[in-house]
Amino acid sequence: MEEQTQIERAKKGDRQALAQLFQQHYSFLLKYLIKFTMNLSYAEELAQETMVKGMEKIHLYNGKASFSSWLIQIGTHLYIDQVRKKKREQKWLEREGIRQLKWTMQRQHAEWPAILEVLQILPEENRIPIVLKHYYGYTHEEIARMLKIPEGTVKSRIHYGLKSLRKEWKGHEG
Amino acid sequence: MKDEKRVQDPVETEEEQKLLRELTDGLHHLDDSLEVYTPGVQWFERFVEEQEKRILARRNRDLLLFVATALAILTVSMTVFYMQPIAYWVLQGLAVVVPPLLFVVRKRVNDHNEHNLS
Repeated sequence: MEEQTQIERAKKGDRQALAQLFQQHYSFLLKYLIKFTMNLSYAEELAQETMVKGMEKIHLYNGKASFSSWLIQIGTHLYIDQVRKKKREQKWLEREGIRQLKWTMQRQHAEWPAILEVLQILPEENRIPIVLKHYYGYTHEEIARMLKIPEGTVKSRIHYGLKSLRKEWKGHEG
Repeated sequence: MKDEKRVQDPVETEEEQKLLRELTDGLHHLDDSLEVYTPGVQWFERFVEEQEKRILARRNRDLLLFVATALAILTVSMTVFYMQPIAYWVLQGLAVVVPPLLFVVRKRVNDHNEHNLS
């Protein structure tokens, strides 16, 4: 079934269509959330909360952005809210998550990219736009819409974020 | 993923480009190395069904709370209006003036914080 038809059906309350949509985008959403939480179980929890929010707001989805972009937008706001509410707990979750991810990757004989640990040092307000712009390829305008902040703020957060990242990375390498 | 849409910023320095390459390679590597389990569609159907029930229960509870609060406010307002009309009108005035004032103050604080961050 075409995605647009699925969305229309989901908006009308078709449970099956909504479930299919969630299933199709689950892996993308989860991998996106892992990049910020660096914790698989926490990312899974956030992905479920994102789907619940998505169910409540599906009638507001206007199709301007792709369904996956819409989902990660919801997930991003949930993540930001939780980081602000439980800053200390979040840091602990991230540290624990990184330890587990490193272990998982080592078991698969894959190398752990040290830059990811350095990225985690940045505050979420810099980290999120950097990843959205430079990994996912969203434009400043799209990021501004997703994060509900002015485009100029997006640019300055990316600029200062990269500056800090460069400094931290140099310190890490040196 | 929207990699094909990526636009290279002309002001990026060579050092910055190296850093960004390192970062995107690292994120790609994480994506490729992690095996994410996606449950079957039945799991998602059950999930949607359970959450629909929860959302409905929460909406009913919120509606009940809203009606109860509205009735309580109405009862207090009517009582004050008949017992002390002056106090009633003072309260009405405050209700009109205080919320916009709080909004303006909060916005200024947020703008100030935003300015300090950027």
